[in-house]
Amino acid sequence: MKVHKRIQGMTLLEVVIAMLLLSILMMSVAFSGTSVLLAVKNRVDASSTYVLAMNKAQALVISKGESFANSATFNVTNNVISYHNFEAVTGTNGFTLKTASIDFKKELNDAGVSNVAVAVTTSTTDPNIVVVNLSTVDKTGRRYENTVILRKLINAAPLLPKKLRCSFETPTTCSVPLLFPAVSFFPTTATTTTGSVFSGSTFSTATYSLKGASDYDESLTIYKYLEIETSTSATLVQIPKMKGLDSTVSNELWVKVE
Amino acid sequence: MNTKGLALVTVMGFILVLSLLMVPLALGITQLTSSTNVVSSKIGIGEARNGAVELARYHIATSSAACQGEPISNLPEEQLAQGSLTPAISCTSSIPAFNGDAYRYWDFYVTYKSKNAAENSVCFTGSAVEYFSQPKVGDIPTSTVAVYITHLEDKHVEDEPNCPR
Repeated sequence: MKVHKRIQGMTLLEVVIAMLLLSILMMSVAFSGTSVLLAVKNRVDASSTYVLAMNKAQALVISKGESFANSATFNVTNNVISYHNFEAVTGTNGFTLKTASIDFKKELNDAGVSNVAVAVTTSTTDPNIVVVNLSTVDKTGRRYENTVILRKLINAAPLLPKKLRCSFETPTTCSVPLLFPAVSFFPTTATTTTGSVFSGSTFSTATYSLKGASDYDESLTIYKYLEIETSTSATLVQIPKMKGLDSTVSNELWVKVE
Repeated sequence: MNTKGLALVTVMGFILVLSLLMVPLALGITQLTSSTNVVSSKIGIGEARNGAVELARYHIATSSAACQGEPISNLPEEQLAQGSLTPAISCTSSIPAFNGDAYRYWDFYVTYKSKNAAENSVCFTGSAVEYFSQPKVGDIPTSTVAVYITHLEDKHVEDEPNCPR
């Protein structure tokens, strides 16, 4: 039987051509695959650089914001939070005012994250909340943004201390240190007002004054003491409404002093 | 000529190149993951702190116990997505009114245990003033209770004996 040798197998030339075609195919696959991978790698590298910077910035803002939670009052100027902590003085009813500030831009620069822009604003709906916006733009114009919300948890209400340390058995003038300073009485903005004390079965007038003034800032004076002046003895004393530094108002109430 | 061997070598070489390219990708993704974990941990603690304050405020406002200075630690544990909060409160002092108290001074301790076992427990401690007032609505006196948080700090659980374990 006659067999056609041409169909028994490939000639050397055909093998070479097949190998050449295969190698061209493999090379094109290799180069296109590599270029796709390199493009992905470049994007991920760039993303990771910026995302890592944003994460670092966010972590730093949250860390620095922890002390802000314990502040009695604060204000935001030029993206810098200035806040005040009132710390009780051991063994007394008094307190000391400690001021501090957080400049996030400086903190980020110190931490080596200088390409992140910071915008600090006070919430329009809650005066106790500060919103910190972080943003950066990469070389291709892609924008990365993040927001951190910091919340002040302290209520700086002008309340009475644990111990009144006053005797109202006779007409007296007693100065009571407040837990947090008062700005004024409420609803009036005066620092002197009148109220009542009760003894036996009669009410009589008492005079209240805010004392111990100190300048909180250029436009605001705060008072550390509530002075109560009575013309008679008293068993119940009315405590008037007072307005605190963070605009918290302590309601009027009566306390037993016998 | 054995072309299968050559193809295998070519494919293996290609896989090797791919693997080398994948290494920096894997490193980048690992960095991103660990960095994100740090941020989420800090956000978790921040949210737990806010929750702890509200939890302490709630238990203080609803407490009917007399002010005796003893810690009240049999309060229920609350679950958050990132961990649990175990509160304890202690009334340290009070100022009386005509009937009942006008002010009560409280200390609170809330232990936060993260679901992530690698994170240490944190104790949020602070003080609060429970404040009873009787404003009149029309001619009817009504009693209102307000709880003001006056101090707050984070401590290690081991540093504060009153923190629930």
